Formats: sequence, structure tokens, C-alpha cells
Amino acid sequence: MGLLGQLFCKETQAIFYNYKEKPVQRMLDFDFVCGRETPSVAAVIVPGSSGGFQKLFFGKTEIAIPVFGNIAEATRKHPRADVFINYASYRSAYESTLDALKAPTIRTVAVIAEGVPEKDTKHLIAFARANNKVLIGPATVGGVQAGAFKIGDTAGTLDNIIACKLHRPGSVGFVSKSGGMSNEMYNVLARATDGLYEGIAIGGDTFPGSTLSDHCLRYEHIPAIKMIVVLGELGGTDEYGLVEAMKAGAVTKPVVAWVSGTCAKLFKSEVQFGHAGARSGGDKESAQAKNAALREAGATVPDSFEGLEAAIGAVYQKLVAAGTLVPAADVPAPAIPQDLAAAVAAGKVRVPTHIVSTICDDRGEEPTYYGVTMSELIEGDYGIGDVISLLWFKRKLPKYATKFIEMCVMLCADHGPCVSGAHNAIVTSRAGKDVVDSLVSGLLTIGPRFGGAIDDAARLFKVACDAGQAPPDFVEGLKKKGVRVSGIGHRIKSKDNRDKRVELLQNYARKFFPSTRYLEYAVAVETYTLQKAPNLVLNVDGCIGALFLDLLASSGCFSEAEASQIVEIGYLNALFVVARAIGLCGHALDQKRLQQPLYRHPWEDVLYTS
Amino acid sequence: MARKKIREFAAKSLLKAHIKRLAGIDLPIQVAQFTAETNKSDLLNANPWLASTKLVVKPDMLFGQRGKNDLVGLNLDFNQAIDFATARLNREVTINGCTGPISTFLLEPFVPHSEEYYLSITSTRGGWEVAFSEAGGIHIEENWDKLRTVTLDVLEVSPPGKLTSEQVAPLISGLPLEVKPALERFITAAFAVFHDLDMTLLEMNPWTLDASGQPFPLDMRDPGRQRPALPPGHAGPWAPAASPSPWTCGTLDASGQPFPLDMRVELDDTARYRCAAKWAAGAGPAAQAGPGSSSAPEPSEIEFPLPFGRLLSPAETTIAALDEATGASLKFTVLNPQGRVWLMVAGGGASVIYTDTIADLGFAAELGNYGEYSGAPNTAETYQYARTVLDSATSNTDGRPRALLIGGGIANFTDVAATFTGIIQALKEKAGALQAAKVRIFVRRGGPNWQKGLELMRALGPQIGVPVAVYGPESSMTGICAEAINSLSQA
Repeated sequence: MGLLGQLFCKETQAIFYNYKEKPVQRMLDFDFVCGRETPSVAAVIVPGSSGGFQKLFFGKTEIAIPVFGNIAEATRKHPRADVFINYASYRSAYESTLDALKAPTIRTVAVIAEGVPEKDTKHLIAFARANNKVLIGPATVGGVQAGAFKIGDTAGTLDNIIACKLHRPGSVGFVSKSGGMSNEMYNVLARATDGLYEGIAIGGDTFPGSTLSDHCLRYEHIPAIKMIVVLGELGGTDEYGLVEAMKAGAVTKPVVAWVSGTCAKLFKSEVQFGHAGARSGGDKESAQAKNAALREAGATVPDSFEGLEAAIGAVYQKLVAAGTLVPAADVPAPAIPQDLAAAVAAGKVRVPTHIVSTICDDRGEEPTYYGVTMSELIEGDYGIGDVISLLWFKRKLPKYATKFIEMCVMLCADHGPCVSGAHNAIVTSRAGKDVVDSLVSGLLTIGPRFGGAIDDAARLFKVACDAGQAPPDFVEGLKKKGVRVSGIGHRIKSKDNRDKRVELLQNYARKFFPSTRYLEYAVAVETYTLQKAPNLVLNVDGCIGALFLDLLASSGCFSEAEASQIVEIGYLNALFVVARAIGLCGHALDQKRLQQPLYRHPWEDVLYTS
Repeated sequence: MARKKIREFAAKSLLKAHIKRLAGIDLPIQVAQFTAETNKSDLLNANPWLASTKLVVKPDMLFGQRGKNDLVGLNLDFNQAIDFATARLNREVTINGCTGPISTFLLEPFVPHSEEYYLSITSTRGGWEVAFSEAGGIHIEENWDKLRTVTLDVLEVSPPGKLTSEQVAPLISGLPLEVKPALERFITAAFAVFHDLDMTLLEMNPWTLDASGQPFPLDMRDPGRQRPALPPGHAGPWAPAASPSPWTCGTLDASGQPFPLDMRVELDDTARYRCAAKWAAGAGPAAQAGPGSSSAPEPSEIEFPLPFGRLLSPAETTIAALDEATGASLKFTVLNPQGRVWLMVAGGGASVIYTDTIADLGFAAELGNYGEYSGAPNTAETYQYARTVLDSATSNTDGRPRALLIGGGIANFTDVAATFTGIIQALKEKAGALQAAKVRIFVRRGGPNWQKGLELMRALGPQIGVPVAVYGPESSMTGICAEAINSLSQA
């Protein structure tokens, strides 16, 4: 197998498949504390993406790591990256690993996924072997070469990495099945020896891509490794590969080993432990048998896991005393600024927020509109008027008021295809633009001349009525300033041909509102303006404006200041926008359904002049 | 997850369905399952062949040596077979030291035969081992020299799953020319099924070439040929091939169809995501509501029975269901319900070592459970797991102090504070039970956010009135084992 010697060095770069922020950032943080000049991740692959860059920290500064959508492109553009770190799910790990093994530039592939089918793994193992490549995993956290290169989440947090002295090489080669235990053992090694040189977790599957003995044979050929520590597990016969290698003289460095799972004899029937490969099966695969075989082959094997640290320490001290091993010097690790999220979580810094929101909350079990849950909205007797009350006015309004809001929405939803908003929406839709574009095109016409009169009418009526101004004075006063009386006047409707919508609203309000003082004022204004021209009727905008003033003033739900603010900041215009959006969408969709072609205005309808 | 054994019923159903699909071979396999829930007439309606052939009935519970325990009924008609099974239903038997009740039987046609072959396919790291013998059956071990084995490397089998004549040839080289084509075809087809269904082991011992290609029909039965019931303790149902017995159907016939008499299969359950539909052909009758059944058919799924003798306690069932439902790993096996040392350990590797250590310290008999949680379970899952473990740990008390070890190595990426949040929630809920059971808690853990996690644990002790000792990555992983055991002898 092509496993001879060193897999990684301080210049090794990897391609990271199926981008995950945390493991990549942890690799880059490791790089920085090791004093690497280049980041260990050359590129990341987000399957199916169209490329771009991913922003990450390298020490104190941000760097942009290129993103690729497929393996072929990433390996072609980054031929020096010879490690492939595969974070694909168990469903897709096989295909992506095979692709990576086929790439001529990739030498080593680490497969993180747990639950890759055995048949798939076997094929990957055979393919890797035939092509002289190294497979680590599946079902592994990966591995680490101290001071040089780290795979994904291996060795956990930066604190732990520095506590285990993993930022500089020690003298011990380590290999285990368990990824969790590998990190535990890096701590043990840091206590009992001068630390790790390289550690690999081969993964807990029945057939790991590379075996305990594969890595021990590699460690034999790495001069900086002076002793080898192995943590095996019951199940499988992998440990016997090491036994044979030791007996054959292929592994001559001191080996300290422990095979866990001596407890399996406690279980009467077969038990599946946490790892897929850990089964209390035949005698030969038992921890006891494997420990005995390793001991017989010359490995130092303690009586229990408890004794492992002391056994490692004893072998280490012997090597130091013999002068075979010169302990690596401790090196201070450069400090990396704490991540903002971690610092906040630790209560070390405080960060001001940039946005404040008071109307809703989507963080809990179910979203709420001003404290009212979706369940209550749907299961209770609520309508769109209540939703508007909650999200706009931040309160529940009485039924007659929310019904009135709904009536306004219904009456203002559409006013035919010829008004400017609908016309714009139709033209835009016919130009092939989507519903959003068509809607917005229509909405953009809403303003002082189209649909925007509700707010203005309300403002004018409120000031005049509150001041007790006589309707004729009010009208004449505006006329002197050259201002139109908003809410008065209609293109077609007149004294004898009243707007049905206005009539309906007035009837409703007179029946249900506690007071219609503002409406009566508006009607008095209308009575005066009708004397001037028959079409100067109270229009629907003016009527809604006046009635909203009545609602605000008489419902008992709003203070005077709140009522003034509502009129001032454009609530009533918003009501028109919401209502008319319904109609505008209808027009846009109508045109699409009818497959209407691009609209072009006829020449004949334009007066060309200069 | 890993290699899982399936029932013989499932193994034979899968073989029958998929050898037909993949190789066009129509095997005369017929199988029916009998349990305490089986309704006799429903069974007959769904499997009319039961009434027209003599039957074999035997337990289908993942153990062998059934003949030795008077558990195999041979050459019975339907009523006799049901009586035989009913008489043995729920009988406690001990197989290889495991004791349990018999709950599931297999019914299949009684096939008189003269030849007994052996075939096995085993998945190995490098490929497959295919073994064949013409001297199969219970005497396979006496005839080990007749076993021929070929070792196939993964890349040699190309396209995947397809064996060539050359690859099969060494297995059947010693056999008469006229049976070779049928044997080769069957071995090749069985391998294709093995590959396609993500099997890891397939063994047929024995199987035969049934002369008629059909189950032995009742109306052709010659009373004089009827085989007497085997005396108890007789080694097995199938006579050795040495001398043709008077009741066999004749000599070897190349037109005969292969018929597996005894069969076992293991599936790789990690392939469930792609094989579930194919495996459904081996689902039990409960899931395959037949035409006579009034209930609507449920989506059928193959069963992975527990090893014989393993009965899940309610707590174990709860956690097995949690484990099924999550991407994380949650394991819980009760060893001794009266045990005084209970484990709630993070990590597949660490959990084994904690269990070892308790045993090494001489307290194996006091160990309540094996268990582990790993793969980043969320807070709700950890809470459910912890409360179930705590229920067991605080039951069956005898007034003597107990110890709960919340252990683990130094995590690579699991957030310690987050997982502890769920455990602490459960500990608070069960505070009264923990006090009553005189439980002391010993915590050891490291990894991301360990300081906060351990701080939460330290604060917990006084809150719930239970002694909690807490250690971090600076102390040895298994140090709390000895401390916990010492605490047991304190009043």
C-alpha cells in the first residue's frame, strides 16, 4: 500500500468538500498558531454552486478562499492541494470520494461521514490501493500532524490544541479507531511525553479505509517519530496486522498499545457498542486476545486503560534516558483574537444591536404578531383586519374597527384597468417582467395624484375640525393658498350620482362607530363644495380619511398623540397600498394568463409636436 | 449501525423475490411466519400452499442447532405443524448460554432430497469469499476438506456483482458435468442478489437441487415413504447424503431447482436509504397485509430482530426508538437492573473504556448498564436520553448508595454546555428520585465550551440536593470510576 512515510507537512494544502464553516475555520486557526504561511485549505467545494469566494479568518485578518461547484475544477485549479477532506453525507460520500481518488493531484482522502455502506467503502479501499492513494475513514474525525496540518474538527478548540502542544511537533505517532478518544489521547500524550507528532483516527467502521497497522508502518518510516501509541478496540482483526508487522520486524519502534472492550465478556448475548466495527464477536476479535497478541509481539500493553498513561510515560522516559529521544522544546503559541460570538457567549464583550423591532417575534415555538400566536390567530376569530391592527397599531381593536379596516381593503383593492397603477402593472406584465416587477411598477404610481389622497384628506380634516373651523372658511382658506381640497371631487360621480362605496362606508360607520364627528365635518365640507360644482362630492379617499379619524378618536384605543402620529407618518396611505396590491397582482397575472404581447402605445394616440 | 442479522423467513423471501428479478430464476421457495399473533385461517388464506404440501416448522430466531432442542417439526400437515409450533410457543430455551422464549416460527414445504450442498458468501475487507461444498448440512465440519473457497478481490468482480464462469469454476470443479450449469447459474445469481441487496453474509447450509422443481406434493405422497418423526436429540432434519434414504425423490436431476433448506443472511443496515424498498420483500406478514386481511397494508419494512435472548426493557425500547429517529447515536443496554453503578457516557470509544474500567475495578456485577450518546444529539434528545437512563438508575434500589457517572473524553466538536443542558434538565426533574436512591454523581468531560458546561454541573449539586463531583480535561478520563466505586462503600 502506498502509505510509506509522511502524508502531511507545513505546506500541505487541502480541498474541502461540502463546505462547513466551523471545521474550515478551525483548520485555519490551527494553521495560524502553527506559524504556517499559507492556509491549509486551498479551496472549498460547495457541490452545484457556481463558484465565488468564502470569507474566513486567517489569524487576525480575513482571507477569501475560492469556492468551486465540482471536484474536477477545484483539483485542476489547485494542483498543489493533495489532500481531500470530504464532509459529504453518507449518501453521497462514495461518489465524491471516488471522484477525488481519481483526480491525479489528490494523494490522501479523509471521509468524515458515518454510515457509508460497507460495499461502497470496500470499493473505495480497493480503488485507493490500486492507485497508490491513502484513504482515512469513513466515520472519522480525521487526524493531525502537530505544527503542520490538521483535518477538519480534529483536536477541537484552539485552547485544547495549545494545551495539547499540537502547534509544534512532538515525538509520538498515535493511531486509534475512535475520533473522540484521539483527542483525549492528545491530552494524555501532552502530559506523559513531549507530545504528538502525528495522530490519525481511522474510524469506527468494520472496514476502515486505512488500518491501524497501515499507519504504524508509516510512522516507522518517519524519523521524527520515536515511539508509537495505539488505541485499538474489540471487533475486527486489524490489530493482528500490527502484531504481524512487529513480528516481521517491519515495525521496530517502541509500541505502547491498548485494546479497549475487555468488558464485552460481561454481555451474555451479542451487543453492538457505539462503533459499527465494535462487536463482541469471536474470541480472536476480543480485546483480551488482541491485547495478549500485542504484548507477545513486544508491545508495551498495560493491564487496563487506566495504566496506559503511565505505560506511555515509562517508555518515553526510557527513550529520553537512552538519548534516543530529545524532548521537543515548548514553543509559545501566537494568540488569536477571540471570535465575536464566543466572546459574547463568554460575557467578555457587549455588542450594540443595529436594528430594533417591536411588532413581532419569530424566535419562539411559533411566530407571534405583537404577542399573539399563530395558533390563536388561526384558531380564534381573527381576520386580516386584526392582523393589520396587531402589526401596524400594535393592539387588538374592537370587531367593528377591524371589520371597517377590512371593508377599506376590499373597497380599495381595485378600480379597473385604466387607472394609472393598474395600467402600469399591465404594461409591465406584458413586457415580460415577473409579478413582483409588475406590482411594484403599479405601486410606484401611488402618490399625491393617485391613491394618495387618504392621508392628505385626513390631515386637512383633522386640523380644520379640531380647530373648529367652519367648512366654508376651510375650503376658501385652502383655495387662497392654491391647495386642492383632498378627499373632495370625482371625475364622474356627482351630487345625483353618488359613489356607492362612500355610501356603504357612511352607513356602516353611522351604525357602528361611537362617533362620526369627522365624517359629519367632511359631509358639511361636501355640502359647501357641491354648491360650487356638482362633481365636488366627498370621494372614497376623503370618506376613509374622515372615518379613520373617527375611529382613532372614538374607539378609546388611541391617545390623542397616537392618533396624530398615525395620521402624520402615513398609515392610511399604507392601507391603500396593501389594498391596491391585491388588484395590481390580479392585473399582472391576468395579462400573463392571457399571454398578452408587449404593449406599444399607438402613434396615432400621440401628439407629435415641438 | 452495522451488519444486522435477519430472520430466515426474510432471507428466503428476499432470495426468492430478487433472484427472480435479477436472474430470472424461479425458486420454489415458500415461507410463512407463525407467531402468537398469527391467525390460523388468515395464514392459510394468505398462503394456500400450506394446505397442499407436507411442512417443516422450526423456530426463526437467529440461532442454529434447532434440531438438537426438539424444536424442528418435519413432514407435518398444516394442522400438525401449527400444533407443533403452538406447543413450543413461548417455551424457554437456552442456546449458547442465552435464555429466552421462542416467539417466532418458520413454516415451509418439507422437501425430501438426497444431495446437501453448502454455499456461503462473506464480505471481507478486500472483497468476498465464496465457499461451496457438495457435502453440506450438519456434517459440513466433518467434511471441511471438501469445502472449496474462492477469494475475490473487489476490483476483480467487474461489473460489480457479476461473477464469471472462470471465477465460479473452482468451486464446482469436482461435480458431475450435468449439474454444473445449474450450480454455476445459481451461485452466480446468488452473488448478484448478495451484491444488489447490500448483504454482508449469506449462508445456505444445506441447500439442494429439488428434483421436481416443486415442493413435495401431498397427492403424490406414498405412505410407505413417509419418514417417521425424528427421535428427540436427533442431530438434524436432513439425512447425510452418503446413502440415499428410501424417502428421497430420486437421484440428482440437472433440471432440478435449487432449494435452500436452511439459510441465514446479514444485511448492511447503513444501506437502508437505498435498499429499503428492495428489502421490503422480506418484511413480515404483519406489514404485508394479505388479501384476507381487513386492515390497510402498512408501508412494509424489513425487521432486524434482536439477538436471541435479548429482550428490550421499556427503557431500552425508548432509547432504541430515539436512536432510530435521530442522526445522533444513543445506546442503552441494561446489564443489571439492581446495579449500583450507572453510566451516561459521551462517545462510542470512551463508553467502552468506562465500562472496561468499572469491570477492571472488580465491579462488573454492580454495573447497571452500557450506554453512550454521541454525534451531537440536540438538547431535547439528550434530555430524553438522560431521563430514561435516570429512571433505570433510580429503580430497584436496596437502600445502599449508588453512583452515576456522567463521563466522556475531550470532545472534538460537540458543545459540552449544550449537551449538559439536556442532562441537567433531566437531573433536576428526577432530583427526588436521585435523592431517594442515594445517588452520587461524578462528572468528567472536556471539549468545546467545557468550562461553562462544568460550571453548570457544579452549580447543580446544591440545587438538587445530590452530591456532584466535577472534573475537567486536566484529570484523567476514567479517574471518576475509582472515586465512584469508593463512594459506594461510604454510608
